[in-house]
Amino acid sequence: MSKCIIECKNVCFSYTYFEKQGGMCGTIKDFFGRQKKKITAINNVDFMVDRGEIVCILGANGAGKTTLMKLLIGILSNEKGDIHCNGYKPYSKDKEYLKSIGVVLGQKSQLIWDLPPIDTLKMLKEIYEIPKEDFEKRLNELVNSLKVSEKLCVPVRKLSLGERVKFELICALIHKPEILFLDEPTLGLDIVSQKFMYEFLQKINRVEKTTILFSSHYIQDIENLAKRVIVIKKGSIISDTSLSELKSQYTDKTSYIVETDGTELSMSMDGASLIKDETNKYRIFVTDKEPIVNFMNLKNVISIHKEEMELEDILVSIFCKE
Amino acid sequence: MKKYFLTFMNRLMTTIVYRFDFVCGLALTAFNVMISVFVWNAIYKTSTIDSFRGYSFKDMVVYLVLTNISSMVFSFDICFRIGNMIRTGQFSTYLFRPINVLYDSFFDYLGRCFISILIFIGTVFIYDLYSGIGIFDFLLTLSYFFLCIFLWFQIASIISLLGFRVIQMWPLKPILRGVYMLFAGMYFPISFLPSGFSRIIAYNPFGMIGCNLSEVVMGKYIQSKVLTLNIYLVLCIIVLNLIYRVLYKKALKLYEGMGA
Repeated sequence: MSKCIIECKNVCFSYTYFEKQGGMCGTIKDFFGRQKKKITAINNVDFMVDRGEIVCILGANGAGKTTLMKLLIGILSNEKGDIHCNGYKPYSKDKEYLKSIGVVLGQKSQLIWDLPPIDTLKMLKEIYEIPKEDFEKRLNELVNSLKVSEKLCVPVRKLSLGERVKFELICALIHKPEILFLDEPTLGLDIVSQKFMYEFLQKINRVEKTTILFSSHYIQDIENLAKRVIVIKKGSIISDTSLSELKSQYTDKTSYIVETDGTELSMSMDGASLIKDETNKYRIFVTDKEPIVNFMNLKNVISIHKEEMELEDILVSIFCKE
Repeated sequence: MKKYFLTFMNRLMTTIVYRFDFVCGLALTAFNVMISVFVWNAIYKTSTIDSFRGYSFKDMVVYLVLTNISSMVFSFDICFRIGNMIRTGQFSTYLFRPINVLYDSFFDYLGRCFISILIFIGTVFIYDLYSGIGIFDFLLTLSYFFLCIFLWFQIASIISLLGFRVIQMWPLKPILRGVYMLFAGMYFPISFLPSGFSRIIAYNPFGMIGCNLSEVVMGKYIQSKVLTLNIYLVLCIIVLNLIYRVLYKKALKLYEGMGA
């Protein structure tokens, strides 16, 4: 069995959209002929994931995380490059490949809205051809781990958001997939449920050697689950490293909070990124050890405060850097 | 096949959950029939003839009841369901399951209209019993009806592919409904149309599942003609299935799985 389970080589994908002109004239013009535009969502993406890894795909909104997930799942077809997951090309939708993956896609529910989750799960039992004993054992294990055994027969529309997310995860895991794709897996979960979810995902990764690829905006998800982080920006991978490495890479940056008297802050320092936090407050990230006071007009500055970098700050600095 | 049977069962259960919708659908069909019967009653009463193009008033009532009940089976809901799933990106959940989307949609459609199918078969059975029509003709009629279900599903599936190109499918609803009413002969048999026109559209797919189906049930065709129509339906289904497969592959390339 090959060690590498996911392999992407020079993968490109772009979306086509129609640009809408503003105003009535623009609307009338658009009625007779719209301008087609292409936007690159994934640009020459290269990476490999080994069997049993837990990888987090990070990026700001619109960076291309979900598009990359959809390419790996086989929902979208890549324009250029090669994708191999578990030995298959995802877009060919080979039955064996689809049986080897589990998917939780943000707001796209697998559950049948008007029926209890047990009906969807029984249908999935047949779809994934799971033997009866294995299904019952697995279902018991999952509902007990996620504490939703009492909700199995409640119509989905009556469940809370958190309970629905848990059942989505159960649907994705009922057939013991080799690769698990999770898009925002803890969305809507309370702190206790999040903790259970982390323990649970770590357990299936450890015991069943399930490869987990997930995207999330929650720092807790990343810190509790990810061993490796792939950072995407404007469709390209800008960092592919372990979480600890990412932290150490960026903690050599120093962060300052500068408060002004309301005047716009300007500074000219190589490698510095400046973000406006509040009306009078600015956050500055610098790599240079030289004091920032040498590069700014101090006349309008009220205070300068140096702060330690948290993971959240590191991510903000990565996402906001031009 | 069991996985698709469960799709069927789940859809049937969902339909039963919404029993009020179903009762409303039945009431609407009953009102439609009543209005048409009143209109034709007025026409026949003011006319000097008892029968028009082979249809007495009694035949016309039977025809209207059958076409209206069959229209509950042959509904356009299936096109709009898929279209809506494509628009919202919910269609993605079909794509990562090891299932055949066409088969799954078919069993979903069967579950959705199963009660209507039972009502139609029950009506045909009672009519045949009352008219003294033999078991062979009854079975032949049933085979024609089931082929119509396959044909309709193929037509609706092809229309649903428009969902990959058109964002909002609902404006199509009145157009499709209008085409269906005219070409299926919802208010009167196709043979009532001007002869040149009716000859051209006599065997159109909508007519096959509307007017022709009712006429087959009413015993207006001899056995050999019903057999020929069955063969014609099979050919239509095969052609439409091939068209669907080609179009689906192309349409899927346009799918972007909208939304996160």
